[in-house]
Amino acid sequence: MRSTPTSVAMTGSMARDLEAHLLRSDGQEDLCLATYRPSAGTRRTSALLREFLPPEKGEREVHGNASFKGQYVVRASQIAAPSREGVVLLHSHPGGHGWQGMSSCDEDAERSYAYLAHEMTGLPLVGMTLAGGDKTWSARVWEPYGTPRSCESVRVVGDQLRISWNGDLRPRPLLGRHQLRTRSAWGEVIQADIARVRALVVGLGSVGLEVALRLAATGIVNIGIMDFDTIEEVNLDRLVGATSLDACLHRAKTDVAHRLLLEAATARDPRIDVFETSICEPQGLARALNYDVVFSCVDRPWPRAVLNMLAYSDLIPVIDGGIHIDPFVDGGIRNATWRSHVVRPGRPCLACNKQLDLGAVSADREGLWDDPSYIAGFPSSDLPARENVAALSVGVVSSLLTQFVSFVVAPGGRGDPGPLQYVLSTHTLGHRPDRTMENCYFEKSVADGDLRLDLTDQHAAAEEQRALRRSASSRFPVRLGRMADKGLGALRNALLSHLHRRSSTA
Amino acid sequence: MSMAAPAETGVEGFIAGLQRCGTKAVLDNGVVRFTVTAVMGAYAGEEIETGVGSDELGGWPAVPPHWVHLPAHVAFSKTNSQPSPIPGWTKHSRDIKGWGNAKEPAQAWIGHVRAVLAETQ
Repeated sequence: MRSTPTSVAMTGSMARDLEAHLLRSDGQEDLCLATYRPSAGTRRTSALLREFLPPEKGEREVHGNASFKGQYVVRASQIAAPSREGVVLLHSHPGGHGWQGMSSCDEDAERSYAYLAHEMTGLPLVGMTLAGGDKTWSARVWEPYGTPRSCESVRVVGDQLRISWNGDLRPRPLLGRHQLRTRSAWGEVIQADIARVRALVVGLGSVGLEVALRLAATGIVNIGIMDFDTIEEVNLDRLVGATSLDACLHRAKTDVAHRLLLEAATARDPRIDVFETSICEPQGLARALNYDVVFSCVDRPWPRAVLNMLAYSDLIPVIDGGIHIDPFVDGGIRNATWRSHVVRPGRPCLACNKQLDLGAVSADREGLWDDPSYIAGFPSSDLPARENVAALSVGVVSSLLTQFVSFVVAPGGRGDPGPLQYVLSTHTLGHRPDRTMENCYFEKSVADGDLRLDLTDQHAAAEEQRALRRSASSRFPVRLGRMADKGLGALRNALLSHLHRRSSTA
Repeated sequence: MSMAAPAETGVEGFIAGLQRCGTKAVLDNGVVRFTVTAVMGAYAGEEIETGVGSDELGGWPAVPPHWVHLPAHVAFSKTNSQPSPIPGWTKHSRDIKGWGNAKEPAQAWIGHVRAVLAETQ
């Protein structure tokens, strides 16, 4: 069942091509076929549209409605099967608005080819409808013997992340008094749309933790947090909300973030999923595939390479950023810069915008930067920079979140702004001129889905951190401390949850 | 849209790329062995055997390897090295800079090995 899609995704350019074909100037319905590749997460499988196959002469007729010949489906299946792709049958409802149901004619047409498409490709037929009134997409998946199952959403990843929601499967969340100011900023429709976006924050350092908290406060219902690391005393000057007690109790960063997010959340029933894993581990990547957007708040090359691939191969946009502080050797600061960018088809990847050194990925993957004997062979100037200041990292947080809002809400009709850079010494915010490299492998991997080049592997440092936490938790003082802290936390969460429910309105 | 054919990625993809560059490669003790002609340094003009660990080629060609395997007689005045799985060989730590835009990635790797060999004196 892993390859049975429950969601559909496509690039902005694919959506434009399909809309141009399906929304005719004469106002008649039209149809066409496309291919898709599955992208299977642990909870969601997405059908990623790969190739638009316009009808050839004689394959379809338009007569108010549209009809097609079986040969068209056979041709599409013959193209799809060798590439391990399935078939998508798309048609339009020119005057429709919102998520579309199917007429009996639509249903008969799709049902009659469900078996053929499945037999020829090994993958279920996906049916899609475009509502011409507001360009909402809807989708369903056909089992071989003709039972349709509605998808939950259709994502279009272009200048804007445009998600069509199936209100039956993912209804608008109830809004509460807590969100009054947010709603007044952009209205209930946008609030309902943004609240349903599934967001994953990878890396819970000074930037990631703050990003996650702000998402929770904005009312996002489903937030995933992923980090394998443990709170240490050295983290406390940047992780606002983490305490010495957390360090003393060897708490996972995800546990602390979970506690803080539940307190910050304004959604009525927030769902915070905790992953004590690295995105570089196969189980980390599989979980990331359940999300609509990912925040990259990690600085090592390996996880950044995995996220860079995900953005293109699985059409899950990655919002990335980072800070570089340039200190004088004898104290003081020459400059600091921070950047932010949405990594997605149509925008340069992290390697193309010089935010990922691919030559450093293998050494990171092998754990060399955690190996003291290896590091001893290098002058300190060649080692990765570790400077960070909480007062400045919040600038990166702000930059990432404004990229997110621009991308999802598109104020003034304009989506993500492209790569941005702030220069502290000159106080200037500017667009970066980075362009896609001609032979970039990542950007050629669009919609590869489950056939993506797999950059994940076992992660020794993540395994070690989890083992150390397990070992610490077996010590009596730690166990006792955690128990007392957990009891107090649970009581506090129950009170907060009660208050949230009371303040929510239908 | 692309579909990476199996022979374009991983160990097979690396060997196929070397073959396109006219270089024959074999897998030996978990290392893909092949020969390059040094153009500078102590071995300029000579054919030198080299290799890449197959465990480093899972991400090829998106991610290049890190270690350059060479026979122990190829020495450097300064290097960060570890033993190679091939008896009598050493692997040297050398990141390749600016990876990601080569039309033929295997050719870029051959160029990298030549640059490493140019360090020999």
